[in-house]
Amino acid sequence: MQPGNSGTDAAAALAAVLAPGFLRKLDRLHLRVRRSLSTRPGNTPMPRGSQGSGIEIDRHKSYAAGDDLRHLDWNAYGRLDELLIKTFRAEREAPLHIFIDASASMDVPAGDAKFAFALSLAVSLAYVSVRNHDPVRAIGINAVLPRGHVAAPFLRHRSALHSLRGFLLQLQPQGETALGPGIVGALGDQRSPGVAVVLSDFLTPPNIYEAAFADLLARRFTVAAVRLIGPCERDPTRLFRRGQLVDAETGRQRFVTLSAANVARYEHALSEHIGHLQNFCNRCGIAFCVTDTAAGIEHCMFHDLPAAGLIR
Amino acid sequence: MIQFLQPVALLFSGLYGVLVLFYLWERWRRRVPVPSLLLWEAVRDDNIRARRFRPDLLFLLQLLLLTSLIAGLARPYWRDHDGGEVSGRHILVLDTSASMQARERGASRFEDARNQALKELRGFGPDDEVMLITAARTPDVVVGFTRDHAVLEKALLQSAPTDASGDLAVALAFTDSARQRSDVPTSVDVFTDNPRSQLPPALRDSVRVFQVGESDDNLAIEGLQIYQGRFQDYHGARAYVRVENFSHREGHGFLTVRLDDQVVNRSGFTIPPRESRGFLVHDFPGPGRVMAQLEVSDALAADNVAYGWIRPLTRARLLFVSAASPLADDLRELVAATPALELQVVKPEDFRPEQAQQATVTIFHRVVPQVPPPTNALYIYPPADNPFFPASGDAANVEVLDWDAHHAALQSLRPLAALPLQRARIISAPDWSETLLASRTIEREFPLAFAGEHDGQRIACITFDLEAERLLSADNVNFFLFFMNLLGWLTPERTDAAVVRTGEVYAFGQLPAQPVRVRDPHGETQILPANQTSIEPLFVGEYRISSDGTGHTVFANFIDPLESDIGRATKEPPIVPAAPQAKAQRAAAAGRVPQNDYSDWLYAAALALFVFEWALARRTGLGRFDS
Repeated sequence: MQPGNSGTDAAAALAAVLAPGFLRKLDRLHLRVRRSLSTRPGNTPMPRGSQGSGIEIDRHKSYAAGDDLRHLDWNAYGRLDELLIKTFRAEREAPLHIFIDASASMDVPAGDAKFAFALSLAVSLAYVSVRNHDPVRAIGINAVLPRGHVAAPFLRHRSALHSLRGFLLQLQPQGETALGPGIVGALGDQRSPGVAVVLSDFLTPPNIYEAAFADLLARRFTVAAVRLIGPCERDPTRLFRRGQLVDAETGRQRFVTLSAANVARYEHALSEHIGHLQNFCNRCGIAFCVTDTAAGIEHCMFHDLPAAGLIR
Repeated sequence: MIQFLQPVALLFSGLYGVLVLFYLWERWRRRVPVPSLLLWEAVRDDNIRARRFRPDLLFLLQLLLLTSLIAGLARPYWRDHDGGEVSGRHILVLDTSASMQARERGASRFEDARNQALKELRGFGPDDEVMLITAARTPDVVVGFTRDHAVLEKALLQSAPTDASGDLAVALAFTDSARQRSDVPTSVDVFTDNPRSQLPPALRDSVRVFQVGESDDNLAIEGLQIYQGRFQDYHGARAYVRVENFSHREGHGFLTVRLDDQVVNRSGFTIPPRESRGFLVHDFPGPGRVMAQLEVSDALAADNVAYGWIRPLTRARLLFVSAASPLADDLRELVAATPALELQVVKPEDFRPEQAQQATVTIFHRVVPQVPPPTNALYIYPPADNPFFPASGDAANVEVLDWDAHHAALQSLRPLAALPLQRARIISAPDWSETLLASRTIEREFPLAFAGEHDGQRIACITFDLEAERLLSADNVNFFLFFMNLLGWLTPERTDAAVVRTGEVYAFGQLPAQPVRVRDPHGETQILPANQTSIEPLFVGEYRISSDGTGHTVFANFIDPLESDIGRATKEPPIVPAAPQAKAQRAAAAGRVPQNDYSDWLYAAALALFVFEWALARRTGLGRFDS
């Protein structure tokens, strides 16, 4: 990895996120987990899951032979003269995997600063996760990297956030998007599920990201997709009126004049692209949101992601 | 029909091709990186634009802008007839003498004259050829006959008065000869502060005179003389400054005399109308530049300052070759009283030529060597049989009958006529010499002293026996002064600095190397052409001439009572310029109606197009691209 061209922007964005004031705001956020995750005990309460021991009582059940007498509710027995066993809400650790699309498209157009925004968002999510004592790791994905990805080790404490920052600053947006190979390569033969957040512009054919999400769901991951978009991508007339378009990833070129009809066609294509992604996520139970980089990281953390159900 | 004053500017039309190339390159350069072409699949390619040059509105505007600029440079004008003959010629003579610097009513005479000249120039027809001459001490053709009135206007605006005297007669003689040679009617307009009556009678009736200036308010330094003998140092130097009041009322002010930057003397004065006053300044603290400056409130400033030079003491070594004699004792006494002189006395039998190389002057008394010494030499009463000045006889009791009063050796001497001498050799003066003193016997006239340059050395000879006349005798002061003057002539001082008048040509001789740089009083440096060994200072102040580390200073003073007398004796009403109607009639008679030069309009159009194009580019965003 080499320092990215947008390194200065990214460094400034990360510095803003790691400011004490913003971190204090993040303190009141928690990841919302929708299904059972890791088998390792942790602090994250699991919905519809109970276990023999814990702190928060889930329910009582009648005693059956073989139940652990340590969980017998003696107070209830004294009042009701019935043997009842306390069961507790399952609390497991929820490992968070943040997949960052580090393809060249994330750095174009420069005014949108999608990549720098993705790094800021990754740090913010990582902070929320380690704040709740859940491990977190960041994975950069593009076609240039070996096996399509480069992954940071799991972090378990806030003090490790600075090493995450160093890792993220080494990421350089380059090459083509490699969501499928990158995610599969990063998870490998890991069977323990967790939370997977994919930060990308998803400017890739639908079958590519659908296959990647299917693989995550098959591994029983709680999956969230964040579609990053910038003002120039929404309105390309900010960039040009006529010119030779160059695909940042493939280098293909087209000469385009932005007539009113062509602008309408582009906007329709963009709307269709986002709509297709959203429908797929809805169908598969994947938390999904579209985040405008111009709105800022705070808007994303306190509005977009809670609305998508990834954060509470 | 449309014609161009500067048709060569149309060569810039080649820039059209550059513009097209630039446009094609710019379009190729406008590459817009996008995250992916995935979203652009539905957008149609602009294949036509991609393959073929098709100008847009901005390009057309740029084309118009370029056309306006090129046309503006070509300076088109309208004329309703064919042909390019000259309808008339005009010669503008602008007086740039020092008196034109006089300021009256907030403007100088020169500015008034120049404005008049500009006004006249703008009234000429576009086909009229005009010549501009500036006249100071000598005339200078600034612009020869040309139809390009803009060049003339620029030259007029750049011209400036000098600090030198003026001589319009030469300029008018020149213009008269140019007018007589011309094959079309040629008029001469003179812009000066001199009245018509002071112009040469033969020429003044054929010129139009635009006279400017009225005031006579001027106080001037009309003389700065430094008195310093050849063998005197700065202690004995004196400066004499003469200040003259040229106005018809009493003048007041202060005279400050400085040595370099140190004030030596400052005196207040009041001078009656049209009178002058002298100031004697002495006790200078050292050698250096003397600057006399008037602090007065008058119209002309150029003559309020003058420069002089007190030279540093340079010692002269005298080698006196003589047998023991009273003259040697006299010389010893003389040298003891003169700090700039050193004396070495050698007997004739001990004299060696290399001793003379160390001396400034070698004095041979009653002896002449076989080989002349390689220095300046003075021979006193040479022996009769000497090989250098063969004597044809002796004369006794002769008198000085004639002398050359212009020679430096005889300056400031009272008449020497009939001064008796005891004895003298009768020697014929060589061809290279001049006779300084002469006498005669019954048979012939013969020199008593002669001097000249021979083989690069200054040589003088006194044929009478100076010892017998007692050099230091109070009765023979004239002989003593003559001897000292002769020594001064034989020991020429170094000329590190010279004082000249503005407008005079000063020859500084051949300097050791080229280039020769001259820095004028305004601080501007000029490199002289290879063969030029003289300068003509036109401004008051210090000129520094330098070449390869050697330097030479020239102080230029503007001292000219005629020029400083700015209030002219004859006050004539200025000639009213011809009315515009008459000018139009002249032009119409020549078959031409002067029309406007459209270049200014074209420049304005180019500016408007530029602003419009810029605004359009800002609004449409066509000028933006993401690199």
